[in-house]
Amino acid sequence: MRHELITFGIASQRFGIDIMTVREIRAWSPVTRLPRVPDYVAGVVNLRGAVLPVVDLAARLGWTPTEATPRNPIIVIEHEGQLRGLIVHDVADIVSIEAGSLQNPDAIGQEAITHFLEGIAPLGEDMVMVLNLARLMADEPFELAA
Amino acid sequence: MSSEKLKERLDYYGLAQVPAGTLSGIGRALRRQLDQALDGFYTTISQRRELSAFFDSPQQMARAKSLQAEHWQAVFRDGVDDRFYQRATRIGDVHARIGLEPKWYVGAYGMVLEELITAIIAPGWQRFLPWQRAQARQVTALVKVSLLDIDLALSGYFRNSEERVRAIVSDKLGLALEQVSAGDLTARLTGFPEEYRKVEADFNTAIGTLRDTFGSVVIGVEAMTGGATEIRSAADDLARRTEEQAANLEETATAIAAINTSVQESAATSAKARSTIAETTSRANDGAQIVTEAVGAMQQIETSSQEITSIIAVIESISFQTNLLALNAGVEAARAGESGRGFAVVANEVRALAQRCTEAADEVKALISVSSTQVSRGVDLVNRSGDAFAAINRDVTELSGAIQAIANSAASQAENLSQINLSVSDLDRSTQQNAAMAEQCTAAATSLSQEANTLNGALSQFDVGMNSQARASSPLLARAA
Repeated sequence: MRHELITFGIASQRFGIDIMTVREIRAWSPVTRLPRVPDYVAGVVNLRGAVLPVVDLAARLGWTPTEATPRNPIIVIEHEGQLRGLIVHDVADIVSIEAGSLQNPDAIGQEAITHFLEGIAPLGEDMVMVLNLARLMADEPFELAA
Repeated sequence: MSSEKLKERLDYYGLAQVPAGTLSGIGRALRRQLDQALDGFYTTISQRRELSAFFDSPQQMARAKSLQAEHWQAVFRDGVDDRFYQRATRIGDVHARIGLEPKWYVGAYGMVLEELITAIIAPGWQRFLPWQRAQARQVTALVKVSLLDIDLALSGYFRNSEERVRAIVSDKLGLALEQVSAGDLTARLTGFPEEYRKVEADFNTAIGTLRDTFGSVVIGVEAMTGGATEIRSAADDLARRTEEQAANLEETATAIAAINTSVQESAATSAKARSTIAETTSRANDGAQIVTEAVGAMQQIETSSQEITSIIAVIESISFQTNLLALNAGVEAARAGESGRGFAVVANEVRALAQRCTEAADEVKALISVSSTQVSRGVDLVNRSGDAFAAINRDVTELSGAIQAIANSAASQAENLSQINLSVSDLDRSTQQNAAMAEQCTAAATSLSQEANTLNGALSQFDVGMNSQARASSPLLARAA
């Protein structure tokens, strides 16, 4: 069994996400900021009539928040009926990996990141960190209206 | 004077107290007998050769006879006065002048008196009386003897006087003149008798004057000799210096000619430099113009680069969008599962194209960025070269001014040199004239020296009573030395 992933980069680190969770990839457009929300919530945008919450993934992972520009893609994902826009730094490729190649990340060092990871898969000379969307979205301390 | 001498004689002769009647009696006898007596006398003279030689012609003798007759008649008519004295002394002067010795005159009186005494003692018919004639003969003989005695005594006296004069003349004067003729100007006359004292004094004064004059001449000639030698030496010095001066002048003229050539060359070089400078200015202006154009071209390149950059941005944006579209297509193809497999391949190809497009745009962007940097640098360099050209222009203008100054200086130098040349020519001419003059001076000094030697030789025959030491210490010589 092979998994197909969409790979993208944040702060020169390569991440991957299951292609089947991706609804679409679009260019960044100015967001409407919301009051009383965590730092990693960039705001909301109008996606063909629906209000789409947009999360700054770099900030969500505990890194420096992204100064978003129209060149920052937003990956729109759907998880358990909820849509989220993830601001990433760039979109790389569509790759496929063997399901068994996923390895548990070494927990030492990067506690904040490893919490959101499904595992790490080698990709050629490089490697890709595969995100666990369930944890990413379940840990949100608030409910955003879909 | 003459009247005193006459008076003294009249007193001594006792003629002062002679009565006028006596004289007039004699005068009467003269009138009767004088003419005859003088005739007899002059007949005797004409018969004696030593006496007739005193008269050139019978007319002269007749004139002498009438003067004699007048002399006699006048004294017995007018008395023994000054006129008589004057006539008698004049007759004596004439006799002295013509060399008639007194013995002839005294003897003549004897002859005339014989007639006159006879006429007085035995006048008229009484001459036939024997005693009267004997008395006349006695008186005549007495008078004649007396006259002869006077004649002899006077002759002795005169001879004695002549001897003394001869002794003075031949001994003292002769000796002195001999000395003078031998060149001894120290000769002096002394011991002349009273009546010749003036001759002596005059002679001594004359010789003294001559001696002083010759002494002065000797001193003058020696000064002249010294002076001529000095002139000769000075002229030689002058000639030598003039020669040196001529040589120096020649060197100066050569040096000036060399300087002149160099100044001309300098002027020519300045002119060339000026034309080169003008060309350089023109080229620098061309360069500045080219720089301006280059700056313009660079700015156009920059503008084009900016345009390209904006186009690249558009391309990049398009490739970004295309990439997103291809990814979305890939996502849709994955959802479609097996049926979307072919679509996924196409989407992948499109994504690859978009990727390559992005890469190409990035490369172009990088190139444009580098190009833009280089253009900026080029603009800066060109601007700097423009500044450099402006500086060159400025410097060239200054250089042109400096070269103009050099050219002006060369021109003024040339003018000064031509004036110096004129002066040197003048100096040369003067020097040649000086050389000629020095030669003339030398010749004149030599001639003068010879003349002085000749003169000195001539003067050395004279003794002016001055030894050589005295000559050397004379003020004239001291001044000449």
